[in-house]
Amino acid sequence: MEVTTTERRSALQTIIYFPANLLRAMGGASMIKFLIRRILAAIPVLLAILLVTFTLSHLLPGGPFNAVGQRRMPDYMIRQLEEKFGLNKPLLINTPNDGYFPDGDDWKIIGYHTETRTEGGGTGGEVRQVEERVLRIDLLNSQFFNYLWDAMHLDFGPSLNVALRDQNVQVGDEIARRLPVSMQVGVFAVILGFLLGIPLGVLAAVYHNSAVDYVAMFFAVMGQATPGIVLAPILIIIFAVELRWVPVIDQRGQWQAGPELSLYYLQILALPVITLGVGMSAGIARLTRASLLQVLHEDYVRTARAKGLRERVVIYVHALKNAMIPVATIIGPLLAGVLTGTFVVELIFTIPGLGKVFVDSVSARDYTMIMGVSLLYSIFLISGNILVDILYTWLDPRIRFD
Amino acid sequence: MAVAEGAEPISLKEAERPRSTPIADAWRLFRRNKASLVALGTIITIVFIAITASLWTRLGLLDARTGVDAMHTINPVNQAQQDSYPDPGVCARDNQDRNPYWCGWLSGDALASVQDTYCFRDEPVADQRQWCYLLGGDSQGKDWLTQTVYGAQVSLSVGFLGATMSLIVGLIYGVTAGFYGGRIDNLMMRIVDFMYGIPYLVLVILLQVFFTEIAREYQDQERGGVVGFVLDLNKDMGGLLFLFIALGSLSWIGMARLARGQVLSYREKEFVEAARAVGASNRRIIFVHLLPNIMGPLIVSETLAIPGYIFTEAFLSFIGLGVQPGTPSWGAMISEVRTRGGFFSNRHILLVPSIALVMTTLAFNFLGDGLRDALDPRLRGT
Repeated sequence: MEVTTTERRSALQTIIYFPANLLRAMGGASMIKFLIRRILAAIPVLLAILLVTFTLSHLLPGGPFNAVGQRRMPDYMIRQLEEKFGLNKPLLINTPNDGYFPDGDDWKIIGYHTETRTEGGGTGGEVRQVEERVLRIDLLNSQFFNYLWDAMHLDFGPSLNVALRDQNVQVGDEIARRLPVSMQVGVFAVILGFLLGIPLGVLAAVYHNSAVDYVAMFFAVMGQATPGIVLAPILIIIFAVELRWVPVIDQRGQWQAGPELSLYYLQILALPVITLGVGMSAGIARLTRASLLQVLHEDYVRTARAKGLRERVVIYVHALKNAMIPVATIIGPLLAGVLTGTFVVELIFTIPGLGKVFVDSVSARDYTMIMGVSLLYSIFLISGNILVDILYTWLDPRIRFD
Repeated sequence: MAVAEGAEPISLKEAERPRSTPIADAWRLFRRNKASLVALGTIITIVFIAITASLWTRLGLLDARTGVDAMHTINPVNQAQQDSYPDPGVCARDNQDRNPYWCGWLSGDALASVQDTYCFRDEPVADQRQWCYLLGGDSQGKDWLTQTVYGAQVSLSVGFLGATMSLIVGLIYGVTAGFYGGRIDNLMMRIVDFMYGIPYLVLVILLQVFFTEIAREYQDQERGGVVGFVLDLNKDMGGLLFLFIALGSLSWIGMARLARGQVLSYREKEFVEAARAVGASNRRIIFVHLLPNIMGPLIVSETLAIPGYIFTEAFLSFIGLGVQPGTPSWGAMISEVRTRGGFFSNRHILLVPSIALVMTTLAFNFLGDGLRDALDPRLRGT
């Protein structure tokens, strides 16, 4: 009776104090300070990436309205479209000599902008014309800073791609629709990579220098040496064309519909996930093997053996826990790679994910979409890097933030 | 006296022991790893074939590089007409009326045995010479073996030059930061941290589109100066120059970090201190004392990075952003098979570039492992 109550209490306490305990385990206040510093440091990086991407994408010859491979539009239509999407403004800085406001040399007031507003809101409000002066001293009234301002308000602008701009598709919405598709492939591939890689690595280390080791390592080296553009066609030929176990491409819009526990979903998921996951598992297997081999030579493992523990307990309880530290930290780069890694797979399996959107947007000079997708990739990459550092300190308390 | 007598045999013994340089040591360790030796042999073979490819073409053993001057009749001699992909081993009539150079060297039985296939009998008659597709060909009659051999040129030069460029830039950057330390180090590493947040593929794709468009825009124009020179050079290299720039734009970052870490760990060692104590200049310390010590891990990591460059090139060529169209490349070959429905028929021609690609990257992986055992003893067995 005593025992159960204390246990219950301690369980309750565990739940109550869990956030604080977790925080302490992860380094406490120093961790928070570290996290804030890293996030603050990421802001200028993101700004610079936006600037580089913006400049580079606008340097590309041609524009979204006279894209390569399309019949050239009349000039007046291009001008109208540019005005509509604000592309007639100067690129980076709105200098007085720039061509945005072509008339006059007056520095101050260069025009009036009238707008109808409803004061008071709703239908009962008073309708009146509002007149605003447009000043030329708006140095920042340029495409870049307008984009930046909107992006800070999470408005990433309308897509300029010819297929999307007529329907007024917003970049944010389009990314929100495509990101889950890419994530499905990426996340399942990471899971497969770990499920396949860790057992292989452990087997190879436990049966070091035996046939098992050699077979496992051969698989790992082959997996590392086979790129997606080689593995995917071979898988398609074997499983989709010859055996007809899976469809070559998804014809039911299942990718957009999202994960569900059905045979069809598994079928369309299988090949892309295997293509990506095998490559990941190869790296994980080699890392696990190397790390476990190193740990098996440590003193505390010898102590555990000397105590007379069974070999299985020594390996799976004592050694494996510490050997997983370097393996766990691979999650960071994998998280960052989940998105960019799916590039290849998406193109080969014609999955309607982000990678395809990005390649299309570059060739269509869809500036807003290029910026949006690059920003998203950068955010993933940077948060992946931060995650690695946090995982390191959490798993190996000898490492401290400073 | 007795001491001297006693000491003599010892010094003799030391003199007898063969002197071994670090490179000899590394080679001795490297030789133990049989897989790496095979890999080294494979790479040397591939490099040799790639370098001498145009020689094989001149000898008539391979087709022309682009495959466009090889006016083979597309409908092969002994193949059903509905399938325009030549199967392996199928021979087609050749519209060219010139013999391969080596036909003149042969005589008697040797000539008779190859005459039907490769050489004209007496007079050049257009219909008599044949071109045989050893590994098949694509729908335009390009010989797939030729394309694969010339594709090796692209992949290998991307691998080697990408690695060399990233090694040189990363080394200079990392050694400067690590050696001078302090504020310089801080600033340089902040820049590296910043570039670490840029998604590699995104930048490479943007740069490649930019370069391809620029090259296309100035295709027909005469342009002088530096820009014109660079554009011409790139055109002559089949678009490889810009590919190097795009690939090298970010790949040196990891190398710079590694080089800096290595320098930091060696900078305070006793031998560097000793060198400084006897008045060695910074330059001497860097080049004589530091570089030989830090090169091992750098070379190993760069060798293991070569497959990455090859993959990236293949992927870029696969999506049409790599080498210029018409330049043979393994990625472009796989893409061609895919776009022309090769997954459903004519699969054998998919296998040729795939096997070449996997074999090359496999060889570099094994070579890297062997080099690591040889050059970086602390990492042995991992």
